[in-house]
Amino acid sequence: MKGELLKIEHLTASYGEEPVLKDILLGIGEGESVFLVGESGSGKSSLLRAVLGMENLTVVSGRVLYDGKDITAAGGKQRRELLGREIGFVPQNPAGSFNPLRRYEAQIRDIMGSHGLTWDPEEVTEILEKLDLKEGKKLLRMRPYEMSGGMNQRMAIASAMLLKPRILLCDEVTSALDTTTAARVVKELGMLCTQRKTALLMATHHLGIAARLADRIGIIKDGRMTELGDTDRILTAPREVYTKQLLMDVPRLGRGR
Amino acid sequence: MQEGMQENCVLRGENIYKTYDRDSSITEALKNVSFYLQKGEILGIAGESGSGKSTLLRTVCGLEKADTGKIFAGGEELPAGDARYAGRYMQMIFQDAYASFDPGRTMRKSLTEFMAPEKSSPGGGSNERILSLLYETGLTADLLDRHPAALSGGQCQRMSIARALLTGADILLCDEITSALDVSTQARVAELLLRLKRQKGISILLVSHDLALISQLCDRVMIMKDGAVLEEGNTREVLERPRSQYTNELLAAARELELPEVK
Repeated sequence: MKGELLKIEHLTASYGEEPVLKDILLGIGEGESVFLVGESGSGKSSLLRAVLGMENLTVVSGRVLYDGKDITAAGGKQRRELLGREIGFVPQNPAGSFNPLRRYEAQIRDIMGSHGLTWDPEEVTEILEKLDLKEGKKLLRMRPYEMSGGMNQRMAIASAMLLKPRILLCDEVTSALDTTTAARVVKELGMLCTQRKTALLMATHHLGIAARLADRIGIIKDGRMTELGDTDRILTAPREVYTKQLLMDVPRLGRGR
Repeated sequence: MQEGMQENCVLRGENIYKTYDRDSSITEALKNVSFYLQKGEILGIAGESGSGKSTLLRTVCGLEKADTGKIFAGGEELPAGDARYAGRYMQMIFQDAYASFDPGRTMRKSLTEFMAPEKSSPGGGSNERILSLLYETGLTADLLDRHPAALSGGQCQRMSIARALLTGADILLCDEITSALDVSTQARVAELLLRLKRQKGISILLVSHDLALISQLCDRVMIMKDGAVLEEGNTREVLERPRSQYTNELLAAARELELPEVK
């Protein structure tokens, strides 16, 4: 496959004895957007954690390749160089991304500084604006505890995108947002990623968001990728029974009672 | 029966105002909100975060006290801000079901505590009632010995519905009760609400920001913004021919995330 940025090869991983990922095969091209859809506990977040090299997850077999290099067991310095600048991450719980008591500005400055980037207020407010956070200057002077979960979530997306990663990993980033905000944020995030040719690997149970942003969708169930294909094909001509069930369970406007 | 109260009206709010005084600035959370709910009906309340929809539910069930306005249930006016009194008619179901239960208690303990005293006869009577409600809410008896953390999100939400019905109340006030759940679990809980409405005549106020869910479940819908009701009516009519610009905007956002039809 051309320009494959991230490649997951037959990955099996476990928490302790419990296998959570089973023989996962997935390649993501430069600038491509792939969504992992499944229920909670299906393993979609674990797949992100495996790419990030989170310590409590043990890789039993298989590999993770980034830009052709095996990063499955990368640690220390090599891992630090990858995370942030190359592979960005927005966790599900936005409160976990920030110190609740420090102003955003100080925290985002620190994050940028530690990756050797300079703080450019124009650039920062522009990105906040794109994520529908108006009055960016004022927001940057606020502290996370003063903001709603949804605003914190968008701040976390902004700070990840400011590092200009080549691929952004997102875990359920819209679950704290209401539909209107989710639709806007998703649209803007999609445009931002397209402009910058940032690849996107997003775990979600929201098929509507995947429909809007994904080039391809992978359906995860019980640690296995049960179906993987182009977004349109998955949504309009699913092959697996489980995918069909998922699609049927999504409420649709104007479909009667 | 109160004057003007329709025969099958089980819950009614009249000109409810509610303000919060925080840091010397006053927020108008509810501005002259009126509504009615008929027996066996599901009334949807839609709006974005901050629209006042949750505050309305909390005020109706007495968790908050309205500044002015009246709430009627079962043909009587309810004392303002008295959740215990309102509890004989209605029970609130929250988004975070786990937080609704004591984490250190088994489900059996949590459930029996909330039973209407007159309905828990000595001996096996209360147990039978619990078992039949578990059955009606799609749960099994073995779950009674578990603590909330050992239940799935869907099971825990069903438990909170079962517990609400155990009190003898036949009105449920549901605040985003499916938004923390997976698509499939959400669909099963939605089916449960419809079944309770059809088979037991349960009446429901359903707060949600998900218009697709509302279109699937609700007989009528009320659109709220900044503490005020913008429009109200038959769900299909409101969603097909919205009168307010704001409803149009909500619909546009919902359509953005709408899935194509499976071929």
